[in-house]
Amino acid sequence: MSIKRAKEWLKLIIGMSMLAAMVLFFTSGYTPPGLCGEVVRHNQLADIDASPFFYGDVENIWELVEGAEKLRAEARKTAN
Amino acid sequence: MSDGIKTLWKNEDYWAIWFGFVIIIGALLKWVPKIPKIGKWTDSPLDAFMIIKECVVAGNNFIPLLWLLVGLTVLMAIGMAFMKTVPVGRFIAGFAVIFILAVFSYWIATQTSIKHWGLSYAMWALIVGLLISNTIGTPKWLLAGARTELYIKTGLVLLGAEILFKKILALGPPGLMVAWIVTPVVVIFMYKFAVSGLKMKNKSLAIIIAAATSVCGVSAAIATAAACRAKKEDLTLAVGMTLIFTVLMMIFMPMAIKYMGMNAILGGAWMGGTIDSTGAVVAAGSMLGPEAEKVAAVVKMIQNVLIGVLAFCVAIYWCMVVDRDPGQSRPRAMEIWHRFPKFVLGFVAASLVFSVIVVPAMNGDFKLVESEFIKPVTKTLRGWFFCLAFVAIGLESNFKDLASRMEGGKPMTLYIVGQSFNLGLTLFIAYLAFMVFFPNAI
Repeated sequence: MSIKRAKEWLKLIIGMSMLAAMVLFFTSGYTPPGLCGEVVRHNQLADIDASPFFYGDVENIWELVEGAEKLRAEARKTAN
Repeated sequence: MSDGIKTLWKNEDYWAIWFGFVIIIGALLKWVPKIPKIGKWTDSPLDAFMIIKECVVAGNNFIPLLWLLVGLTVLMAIGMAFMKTVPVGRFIAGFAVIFILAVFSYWIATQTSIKHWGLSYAMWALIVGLLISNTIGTPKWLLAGARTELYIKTGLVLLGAEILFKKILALGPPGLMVAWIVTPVVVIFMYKFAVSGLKMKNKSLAIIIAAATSVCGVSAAIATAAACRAKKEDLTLAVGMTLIFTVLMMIFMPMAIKYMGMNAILGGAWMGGTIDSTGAVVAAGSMLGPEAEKVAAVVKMIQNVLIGVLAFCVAIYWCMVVDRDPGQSRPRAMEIWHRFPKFVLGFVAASLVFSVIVVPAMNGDFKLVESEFIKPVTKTLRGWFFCLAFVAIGLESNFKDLASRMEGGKPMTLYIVGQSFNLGLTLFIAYLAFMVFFPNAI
């Protein structure tokens, strides 16, 4: 193995170690102190998955949509 | 046989449609079994591969995942054999490894705390791919399996099946106002600012950032990148920026809204129209209470529905204006058809099939349609294809190319200016919609 190739493998090992450290950090349950960590702590308490990037991936999306429809229906009743 | 007919089995866009519709038809006819996915885990990583039924371990996912690999390999290999872009054997070898890397990325993303932070599989898949390509380099046989555009386009065709128009009136006119007035204004403003103000040379990157900022983050970025045939590095940059700022906005916007004493409904609509991912929107909205959570989620859902319209419009604009040679007259219809990314039609067709045929056939019970066909098959496979795509993008990208696209920080400037404009305009329109014109709507 040439020195260049060995350096490349070393970079990969370092990179994988950094990835592992990142994963360990985020899986530790750490939250930033004070206001900065409030949303993440709230997500932990309520077990909210904040990762879906499309509405179809949100587990309770249809409950939320139906909830919004109910809110609208109640508001209309009140207005009438 | 004419070249036009040959493109039906030579062209990657068409194969995305064939793959997508084979899967959709298979799902509707119940020929395709429930697609396995990587489950949630907290302390024990192996829990991700366990099948839990009524709180009891009922088996594991290793064999189903193996079958998924086999099934996808066979499906994709058929396409590769016809397209002849890479040797089939090499593709199979590369695809198998990319699939394993996708499993690894999903496995990280399904950890409970990581979900609480809002760090999606897209980010981990990119990181894993970039790690390999920028250290030991991606070997040629692995690159043969990195069919990024094919995975993205197939995933987008399947995404079309999830765009059900029925629920866009859940919030009535104010919801539509926030989602559908602000979004096109911000897209056009950002693109014009990028091209005329910042003088960005990379128009594809500009429109992808504009779409991600104004519509719905990663999914809009993917659809727009495919529609304008952008380079993978453009998608990587845009997705990277949007993922970082999504987490920041999820953390800081609810605090700011509470600090300002803003009405919860208004705050929910504001966050729904600006935070880029639906998961982060729901998390942030729930900080303001159940009503804000519902309003935020529905506003974001209505924006998500615009993905197909956006992809279509960008594709047309690119064909007619951007890709036109200077001095050339307006392209004729056949020329536009020739240049038009056909997978967009597959996306629209899938949406129409489900909205106009399948849901009405099930007596309008879209929840039943979702639980029977979408959730177990098309949605899960859509996720797999996007994860494969992000791993492939990472494997094909290198930091030097990414750095060269930074154009002295112009993409970041575009994002910040555009998002600031988005925040201001969305708040203004949301105020008008929910507080002035329709104060009793919710």
